[in-house]
Amino acid sequence: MSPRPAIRVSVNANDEVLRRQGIVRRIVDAEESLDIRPGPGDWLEELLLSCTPVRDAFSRTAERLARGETVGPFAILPGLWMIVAPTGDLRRSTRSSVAVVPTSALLEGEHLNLMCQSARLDRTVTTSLLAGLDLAGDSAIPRTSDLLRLLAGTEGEVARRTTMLEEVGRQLGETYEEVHLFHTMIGETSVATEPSRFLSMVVDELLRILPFSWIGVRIRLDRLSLPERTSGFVLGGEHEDGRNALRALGDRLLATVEGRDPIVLDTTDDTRLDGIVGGGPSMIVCPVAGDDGTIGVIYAGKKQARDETASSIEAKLVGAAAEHVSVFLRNASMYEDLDATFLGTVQGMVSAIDAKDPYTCGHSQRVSWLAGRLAEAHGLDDNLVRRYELAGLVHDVGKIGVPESVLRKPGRLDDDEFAWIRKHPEIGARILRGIPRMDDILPAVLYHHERWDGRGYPAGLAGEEIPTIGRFVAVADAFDAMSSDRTYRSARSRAFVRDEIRRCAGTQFDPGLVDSFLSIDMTRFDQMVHEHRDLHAGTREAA
Amino acid sequence: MTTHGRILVADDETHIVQVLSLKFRNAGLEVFEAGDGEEALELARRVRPDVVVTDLQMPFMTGAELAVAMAREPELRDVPIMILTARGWCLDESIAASPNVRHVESKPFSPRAVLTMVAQMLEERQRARDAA
Repeated sequence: MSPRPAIRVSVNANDEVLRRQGIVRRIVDAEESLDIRPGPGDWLEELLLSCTPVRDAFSRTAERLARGETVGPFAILPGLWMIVAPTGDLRRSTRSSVAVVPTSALLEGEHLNLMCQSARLDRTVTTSLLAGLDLAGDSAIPRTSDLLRLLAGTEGEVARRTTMLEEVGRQLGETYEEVHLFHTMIGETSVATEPSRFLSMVVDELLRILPFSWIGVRIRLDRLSLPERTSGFVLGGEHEDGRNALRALGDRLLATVEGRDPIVLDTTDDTRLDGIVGGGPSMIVCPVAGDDGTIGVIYAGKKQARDETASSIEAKLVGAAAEHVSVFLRNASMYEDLDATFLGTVQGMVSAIDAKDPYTCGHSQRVSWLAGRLAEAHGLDDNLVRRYELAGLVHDVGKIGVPESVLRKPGRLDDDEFAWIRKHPEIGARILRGIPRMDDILPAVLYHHERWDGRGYPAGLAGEEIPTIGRFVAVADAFDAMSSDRTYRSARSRAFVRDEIRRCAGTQFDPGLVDSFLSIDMTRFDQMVHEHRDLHAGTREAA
Repeated sequence: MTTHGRILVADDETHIVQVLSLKFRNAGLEVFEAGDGEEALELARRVRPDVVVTDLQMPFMTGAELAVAMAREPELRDVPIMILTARGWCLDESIAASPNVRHVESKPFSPRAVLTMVAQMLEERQRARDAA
């Protein structure tokens, strides 16, 4: 087992072996300038590469190779040979490894003197160093030539494969970036994900893998139905130009870019920017395409790298993110539309039921509002708040199955009539059971008349046996009932109702909810009560 | 980003070694490659890397075992380690608890992000050495 050496090291290792036979090599390529300077402090290279005959031989060989000639082994001086070995590169056929090969004959001839003078080496020392090497005789030149040609061909092949491997590695690395980006984005793609959160995640992810200082996303909220709190501008990273300037830049880009392909903007002379800068010399801009025109733009500025110009690979990654953002936003918008349609339908249905009993006009809407505010005051997340609002809206849906004569009856109900009233939670649950994804709402419908002390209906559950959502709606329901006129009594004062809620904590209501409930600002509630009263008065006059 | 240091990459998947080595080499780092945990440990003893980036699931010796083995050797115990795990792999808590494991990153990873983390580990190591 041994460390895997890099290829470059193995070429050096080959040169080490050749040096032991006195051989030094240089690459000669018609497309590159000839460099035969000896390695510093390398006596062998200084001896073999410094003298004029060797330098001339290199120049002549380079010229002949450039003309496409085949150059066989030849003697530069007695006992000093030049052997040319092509590297086998088909596109650069003249590229060759050129070796200077001394033989034992060099030690006997007078030319060694001249070479030592050129290289400023001491003759005696040099001779002894040369004698210490394993120099072959002149007769070995053809064999040495064969071996050097084989070696150069192999090294050339290894070099080409190394280059190829590096290119594959580079491309694979870019693919990894892309896969990683998609993987992270897909993990976050759920209709339940807040659009603002999704966009922040995309920006953070892009900042992680792209060398840009900041990345912005500007969204055309007017072309999408997104939740109210969605921000049309998400910015991440570090920026000197300020948030507002970069938002303005986003507006400008939104108005000018189209299609779905990323572009690299040269910010120094792009008229589209009209003097708005802040992106460094080069920016990546990619439109986010909608079904019908551009719905947004992703833009990355101030690249932090030696090359400040955005690369096509970086642009491609931003393009991939924009594709994904487009799919996400269109889905989110569609989901929001669907949700609004559903809610509208439910509201219509609930209003129809409330209308059966003029005294409960608007009751469901107000309980919905109260349940939502209580959920907020209790610290539940946005998604749950919306579910609690829906629960409040539909909690009395079962009253559709209760005779109007019972609902509208002034005065006390007899036992039979009250038995009808007690059925409405179960009727409501039965109605809603057929609607998909209402599982979390059903307990509110079924259990909003349960009491903390277990004396409620229909199941007589107590304390924490009662599902949380049922306990929330129960408080909201009772508060609205006491605050509105009824067939048998008029609305109670706010102070009375508040005292009553507090008094019944631990008997009728979950004591843990009362403080949160009493902290709700009721301005909007009072407004709703008035609106509904006016509406009710209107319907009565019309009748 | 140009950094200095010796980094040991261990993974039985050649393409991952290739991608990471290239990324590190282009950043100016000296890279050593191993195909399994045993090879990585032997190589670490010889070259004394500044940082190790290793796969978790490897033949002969896993990345976690490598971390524990390195923590036992006085010469190697301070070398910070980053472990790459396959997606959805449930990480044994004892692995992350090994004091020399600084990062656990799940595949597919971003080579750029890995390089950034390695550069941070190198900086921290340099600071620790300067302080010593």
